[in-house]
Amino acid sequence: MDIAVAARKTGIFTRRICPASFEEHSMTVHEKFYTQFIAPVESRMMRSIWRLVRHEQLAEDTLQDVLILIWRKRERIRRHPNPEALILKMCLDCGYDSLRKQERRRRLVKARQAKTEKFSVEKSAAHELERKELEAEVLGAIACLSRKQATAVLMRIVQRQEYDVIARAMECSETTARIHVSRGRKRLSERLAHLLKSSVEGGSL
Amino acid sequence: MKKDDRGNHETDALLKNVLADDLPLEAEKRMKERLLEFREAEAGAGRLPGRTFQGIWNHVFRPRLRPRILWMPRKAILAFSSILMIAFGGFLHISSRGSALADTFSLLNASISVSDRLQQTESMFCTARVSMDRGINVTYLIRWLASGASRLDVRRGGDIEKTLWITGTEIIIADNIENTSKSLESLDQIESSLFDPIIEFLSPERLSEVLYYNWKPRRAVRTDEDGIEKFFFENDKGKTVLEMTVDLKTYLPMRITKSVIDSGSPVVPGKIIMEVDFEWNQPIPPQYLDPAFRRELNSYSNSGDIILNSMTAFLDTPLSIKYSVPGIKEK
Repeated sequence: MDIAVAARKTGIFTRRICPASFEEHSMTVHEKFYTQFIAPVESRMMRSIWRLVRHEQLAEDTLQDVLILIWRKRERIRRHPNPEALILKMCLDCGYDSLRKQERRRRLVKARQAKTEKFSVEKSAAHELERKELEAEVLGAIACLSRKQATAVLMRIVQRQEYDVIARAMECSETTARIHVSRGRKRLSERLAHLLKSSVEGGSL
Repeated sequence: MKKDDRGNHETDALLKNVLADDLPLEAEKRMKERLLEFREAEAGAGRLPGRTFQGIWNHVFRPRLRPRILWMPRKAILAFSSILMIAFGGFLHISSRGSALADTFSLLNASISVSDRLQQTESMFCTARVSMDRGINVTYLIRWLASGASRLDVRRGGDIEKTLWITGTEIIIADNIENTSKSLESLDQIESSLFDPIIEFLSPERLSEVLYYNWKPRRAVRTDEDGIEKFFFENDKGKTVLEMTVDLKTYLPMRITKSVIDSGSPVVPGKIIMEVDFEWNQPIPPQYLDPAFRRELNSYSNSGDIILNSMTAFLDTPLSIKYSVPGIKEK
């Protein structure tokens, strides 16, 4: 049989024939990925990121980082037994990175912040300032945890995920996930003990 | 309630209170805009967001970052300048060739150049030799065309055990020993781990993404040969080293070697676990990548005109030598 005829019969993809159909297929595949995996968790992604970074600009930048990370790891997400948990874990990972960068920046410009805060004392309500300080303390404490402990604690307490879901997202055993949560909680308790004590005494919780 | 439980309860309560689910409307609006941009623009076209020059430019010079740039400390400005130079594909010469900073920029520039050139290739033929467990060596032959079609043959011992075809609309995997084949919807459905070492080499675009995002450039070494340079990368888990020999005329890899990192020595290759040789932009007859051609050969073998094993010889033939298959007339 003539090869050229065989080629036409079986539809061999040449550069002339293929590009449009292949590009159409690619667009469908990628749009399908977004619709299947990202669209259902858009709201939870935004809220997870916000709950951790609590700064508008930073939240937006963190979301951009998350989307790039999701795109890079899309094959892994497709294969994962719980893609939703994995995507939310990625949100926490990027949020954690943003938090750590923010803490480093905050330490570097502490003097400037002190001046700003002085100005804020004059202008802001006392309770708003207290809230900001509390937030800064808690976020600072989270930033001091190891990545795994921070991720596990946040998935457990903030996202309210079950331990088996956390384990699958972190690709570890359930026992290990429980240990990460336990140790993370313990470290946070130690670092925030003064806040917990004053909260209990002041009754603000 | 035990003391520990009470402490946990209070910590949890504090975290939930401080990290409240109170997304402000403005923040939500901004993030939704980002999601929409992502979905409509780069994701829709199938390109990695931010990966194009325009994407990198937009990310580096995004409007909300501009006021910050003016007030950054000097170190940050220096870091930002380095990003600028990389984004423009610039090459900074500072004092002598031996300057560490110039070498770093050179390495990063080369890394980006290789990634870019990979995405502009017309065809790829690569041979990968992988050292598996228990001393078993496996050879992979990959052929790829810019049309998007590719073919992967897996050989263990003398036989081609499995073949994978990827065309515009289908993925077919054939077991040549059991003479069975099946269609798949995606590569994730491949059950055999035999394909795992080679997935990242299935196309130049895939290889480019893997090199760009998973491998950190560490050092460059000029070889004695003119126009050839070796680059060393370390993977993001810090366990393997990738040595890439690049033709500086084309900025395409000629050979990639993957080794386990020698313990105690940073980025020093130890035991080689994979070697891949490349040929770029050589003509590949389309029938190499057509699953139907195999079926044609099968049908001929049934009629006795061609023995199926001749397919092995057909595939082994170097591309530069024309191979004529008895019973099939070529124009």
